[in-house]
Amino acid sequence: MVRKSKYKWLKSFLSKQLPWLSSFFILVLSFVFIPVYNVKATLVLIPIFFWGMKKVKCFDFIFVMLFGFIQDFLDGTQFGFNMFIFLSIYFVVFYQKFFPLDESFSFSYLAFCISTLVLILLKYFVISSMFIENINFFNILLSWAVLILCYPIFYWPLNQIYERVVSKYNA
Amino acid sequence: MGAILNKLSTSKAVKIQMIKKLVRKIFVIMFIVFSFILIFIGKPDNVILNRTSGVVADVMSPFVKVISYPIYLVGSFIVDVKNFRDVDARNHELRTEISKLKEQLNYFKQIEVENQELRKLNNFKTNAVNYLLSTRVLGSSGSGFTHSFLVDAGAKEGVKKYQGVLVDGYLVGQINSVGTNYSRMILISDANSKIPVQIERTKTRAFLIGDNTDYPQVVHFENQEPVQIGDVVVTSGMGGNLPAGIPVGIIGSISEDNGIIIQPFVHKSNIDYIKVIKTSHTDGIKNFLIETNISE
Repeated sequence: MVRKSKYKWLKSFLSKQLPWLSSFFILVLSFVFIPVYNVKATLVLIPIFFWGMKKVKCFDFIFVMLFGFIQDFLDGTQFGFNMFIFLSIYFVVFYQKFFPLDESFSFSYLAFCISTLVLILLKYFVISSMFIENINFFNILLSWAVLILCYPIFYWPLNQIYERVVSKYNA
Repeated sequence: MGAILNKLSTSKAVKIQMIKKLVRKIFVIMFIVFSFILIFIGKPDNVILNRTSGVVADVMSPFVKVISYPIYLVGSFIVDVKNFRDVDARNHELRTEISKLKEQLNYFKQIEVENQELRKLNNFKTNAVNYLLSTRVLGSSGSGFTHSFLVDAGAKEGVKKYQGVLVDGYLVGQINSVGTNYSRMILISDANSKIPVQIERTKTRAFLIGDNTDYPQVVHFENQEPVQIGDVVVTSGMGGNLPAGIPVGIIGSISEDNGIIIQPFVHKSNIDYIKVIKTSHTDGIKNFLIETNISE
């Protein structure tokens, strides 16, 4: 009986911590250097979109801001850019009421592709027009392509975490 | 009466919930606006931002180190298996190289003594010596907007901002921000990179600027001396951050539309173990580290 309650406490604890922990893990993973693999993508957009779409309360916008802050400093891009992009995507996904994004994978995938493309293009146009003139557009598109290819790979484990732990104890 | 009280308390709770949601929404909007303003006021050369960048690198790098460890192990294993096939030949090659290097070392020691004596005779004061710090790359930038790496060495090891980074004696980048134990370097192909260079053949000075492609451009030539495809581009030493004569790449193409594009000697996918150039203004060459092959 005691063991069962302990287990329940652990699950309840994990249900609150796993959304940000999984996002942090993916953030760190996107910085891991693989010598043969050249194109990099902002992978942390995937969990931000996912947890925002599931409207998980314990994944607060403070975490999104913190991830943007870390990404800004480690990337070396203009400070505030990633914070702005991450918060914008979180805001759009969390507060929109027109599309039932979490009903089917294909619908959420399409929404992810469109929203990230819009935000990455916005980032490209602002950076190239105001800060660095000579950014290669093809590289940016390639980076976005890698990001959308990675979405299904990360969607599955995140969805498992949501269904098995987070949704049960954090409704 | 009880039912009415219950209803009232429920509606109060709903109201509080709604206010909480509204406040949260306002906060998110406020932070979005704040981060948008930050983009325009946060200057890249700001001292506080640079220091914070070093601190973030210090905090994040151990996590990157832990997660990249299995990948590093797998990579090392593959390299070990590859090397195992020609271990005998490699052993012989290394032994020959060691004996050659020993001869060279003796020769350079003699030259060093001679050099010091000549310097004394001429009262020559500038004694900048370049030491190399060997380390490895931990992680790379997480987006297509920058070409940067996290480096497994920081201020503790004597790493400073703007120090050059070499792979096999070729320049690949510069240190951009420094933490206590870790630092961040930008590659010569990064859009923020500007390195004073010169064409080795004509000694024409120019700047090498990155554009986030694999092939940076040479711009702002000092004079109009013609350059040719295949000309070697080396550092000019202007500005004092990098020593002169470090090879960077060769001129790969010249065109009116794209300008003068160089082909770096080291591709970014081959950057794993690196050497940071630490310039030290001390007399003579210290025994523990002798740099002899920078421009070879």
